[in-house]
Amino acid sequence: MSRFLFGSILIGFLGIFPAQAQEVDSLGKYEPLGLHLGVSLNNALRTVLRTSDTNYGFQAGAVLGRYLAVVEYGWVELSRTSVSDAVNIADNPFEYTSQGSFFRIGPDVNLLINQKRSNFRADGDIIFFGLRFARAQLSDALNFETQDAVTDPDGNNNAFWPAQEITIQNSDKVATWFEMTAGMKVQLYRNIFLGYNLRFKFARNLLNDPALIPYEIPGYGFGSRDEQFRFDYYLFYRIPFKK
Amino acid sequence: MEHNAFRYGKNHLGVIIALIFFAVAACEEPGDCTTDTTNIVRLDFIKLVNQGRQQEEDEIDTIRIFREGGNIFLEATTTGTVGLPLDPANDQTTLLVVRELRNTITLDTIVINYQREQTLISPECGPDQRFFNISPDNELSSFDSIRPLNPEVSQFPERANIQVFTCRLEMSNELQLRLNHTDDGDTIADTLIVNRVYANVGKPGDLRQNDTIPELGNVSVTVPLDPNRDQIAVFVEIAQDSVPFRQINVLYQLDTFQVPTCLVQDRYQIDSVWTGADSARLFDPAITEELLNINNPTNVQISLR
Repeated sequence: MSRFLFGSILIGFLGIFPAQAQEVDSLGKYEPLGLHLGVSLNNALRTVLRTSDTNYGFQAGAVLGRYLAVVEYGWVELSRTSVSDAVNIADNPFEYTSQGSFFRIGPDVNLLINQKRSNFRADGDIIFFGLRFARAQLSDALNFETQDAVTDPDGNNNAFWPAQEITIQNSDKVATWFEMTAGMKVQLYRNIFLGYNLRFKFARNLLNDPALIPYEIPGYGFGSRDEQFRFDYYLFYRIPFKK
Repeated sequence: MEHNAFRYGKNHLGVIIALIFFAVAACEEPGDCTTDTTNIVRLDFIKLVNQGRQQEEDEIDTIRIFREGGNIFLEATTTGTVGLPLDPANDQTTLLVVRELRNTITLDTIVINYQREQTLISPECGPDQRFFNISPDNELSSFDSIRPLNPEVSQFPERANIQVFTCRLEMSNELQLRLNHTDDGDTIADTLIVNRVYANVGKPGDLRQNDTIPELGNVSVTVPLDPNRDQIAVFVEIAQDSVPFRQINVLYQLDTFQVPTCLVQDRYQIDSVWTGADSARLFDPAITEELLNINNPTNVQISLR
């Protein structure tokens, strides 16, 4: 499914290129035009709405002609406990905590020609496609009580093995992955921009085979998935170098 | 003035729709609590007849399995299959296996090593634990062999995780010698009296004493072979005979034998059999079955008159 979706977006972008290739690009190829500093709105919103989560993400992008050199950083702290009215398959209480940080680095390319149809400079409204290498480091712990399906003559569980409370934890585990990203950035007012990044995350690698698969890898999402889509909204401030 | 982004939107509506679709896809939450993981490891207890072919035994033991320190047991099915919960808090489980067959009880210990991997599926679904790299240890048991077959446990396994083999050792070190009293051609039914049958090796003493063999009847003698020799002499004392004893010589060889899932066994094979110089009373020595096996009633036969 995800491959199909990603294939679709690539085809969509490829459809842009032939028409735009005829346009005259008067801009220097890697001319420094400004700096974009952004904060992830959805991460901040999550921090506000979920008391058990602290989640921040920031992005800085140097505009070089139609390209952006992007660096992203963020950190996540979260805790999860069993939900009382859940359809918990094991019906056993648990507690999960995690904290860690991440960074991403990679280029974006602007695919949107300007209003004069003269160049693709990336310091204004843009529709972009980008690539990222990402790395996260986290520590997490899962505490839960085991349950045994074998029942005693009275029908009680834990007949073969008694209930045992176990804690599994990772300390400073490293995960790496790659991203293909696409999105839009639109000017709201003067140097204020609003944008979103759609990210396809793949080639996730958990180094050193952790016993506990992280529930959430900072910057990646669900740790048990080898690949996934994610979405980020950003509020940007542009520091222009050149008009 | 029309905004650049809106103009682009008009011209590339498909791309915009695709982006919105991906945005929705990116917001999906895990909702499926179903997993295939379990801590139940499947063991198959297989009993073989060890005579050079993998033939399954008819008689299956009653098998009960306890965990170390526990008093609840799980019992194998009539086909020898049992699902055992692994210790979810450790990477090793020690199981006590009680086998019972015709009031004979055998106690064994099986140690199963494995790796665990935990994950939190979701707050709604709770934690999940996967057991894999299942590896049994046979050092503490008297089973012929314990073989890992499927390294990962699952709720719906296509095959057992571990096969436990018990082999009935069928090779024997006992030669079965049959003495046949032949028809001497007259009309009188004679009877032979064999006072003693004894051998030149093994424990001192008689293999048989005071046997009365009617005409066309026979008597079987079990003769233990010595692993340090390759020949044995058996002596037969016949009451009606003119000489003190008659001699039967048997030449044999010993090697070892093993089928893949069973322990090594000694294997005796008969090479030749012959009588002493005077064959008036003992004649026609013949090998009926070279291999000394508990299922072979006779290895060597010889005629008496």
